[in-house]
Amino acid sequence: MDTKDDGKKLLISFDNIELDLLKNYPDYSVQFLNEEGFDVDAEGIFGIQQIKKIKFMTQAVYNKSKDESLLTLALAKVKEAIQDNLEKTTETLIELLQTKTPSVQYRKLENWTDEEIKNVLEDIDVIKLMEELDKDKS
Amino acid sequence: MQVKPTKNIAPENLLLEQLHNRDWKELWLKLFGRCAWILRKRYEVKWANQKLQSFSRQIIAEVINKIFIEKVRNWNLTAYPDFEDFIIGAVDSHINNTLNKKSKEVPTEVIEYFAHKKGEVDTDGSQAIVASELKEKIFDELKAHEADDDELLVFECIADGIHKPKDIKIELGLSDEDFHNIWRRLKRKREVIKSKLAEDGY
Repeated sequence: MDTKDDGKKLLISFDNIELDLLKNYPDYSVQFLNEEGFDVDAEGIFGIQQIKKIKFMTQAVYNKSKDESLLTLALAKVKEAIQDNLEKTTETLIELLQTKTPSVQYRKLENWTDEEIKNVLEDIDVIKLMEELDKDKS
Repeated sequence: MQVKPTKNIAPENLLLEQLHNRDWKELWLKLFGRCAWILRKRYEVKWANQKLQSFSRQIIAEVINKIFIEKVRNWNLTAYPDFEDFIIGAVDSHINNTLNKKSKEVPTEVIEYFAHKKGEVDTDGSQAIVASELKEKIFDELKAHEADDDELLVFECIADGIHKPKDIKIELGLSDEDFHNIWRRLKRKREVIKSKLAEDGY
């Protein structure tokens, strides 16, 4: 016996076939878009540009987290160096800072908060600083 | 007591693999085509191409952003082993949510259809989905509207419960191209079927 659902199922089957073709057959998808009056080439170029943007953004997020972990490492190293030899560490850090901003006067490190040191580290080449601190230590 | 299955969320490296190794031009066009079809045929929006294009682009771009940048759309590998199925599901639901928020013009039954049923036909294997009396009525109606023998054969497959394109092709021994051409002619008669169903109280 027919039921009201039969009609609905039939129409849904029609729609599912169309969606299956759009998903699994790229040529069918392209032809569908052409028939609907879209410029497929322009849309493809737009899509690629969007993905390039996303790839660039994921790289930036990755670099940022890499920079942050480097900064944390450098801060720990500076704090350790301050405890070992305050004078020498201050000198090394100030030397590096003055290559960037020679006109600014810097205070002694013993009065700086962690946040202040971190802000300063953002302005210098932390890899070079860590190398210098290692050199000072040895 | 029923144990709730744990979610198997794709790790970062698997996501990046999809981002860097996939043919995104092809996938973008598939997603764009799907958006266009769903908006026009399912939600029956009357937008011009320009509006439909900007809405679809916004939907796809937002979904991609949620997956790869904001990371608020997790790829559940258990539910969607295939990345394309995952992103298609995400696009469908984002269209639904966006239209639901934005507009009252979308028929409620359409929203319910996508929100709950996801367009799945509840049939078991190749079990007939239409009883023979109805099948005959629609067959005659299609014939009256000049459906050719190939279209009628495809229609019979669908009515008999074969509703995957690859299965219909195997059943009828058709190439992709032949099936696509026949389907393009038959799908234009969907409205004929819909009217006939309404006329006969289905």
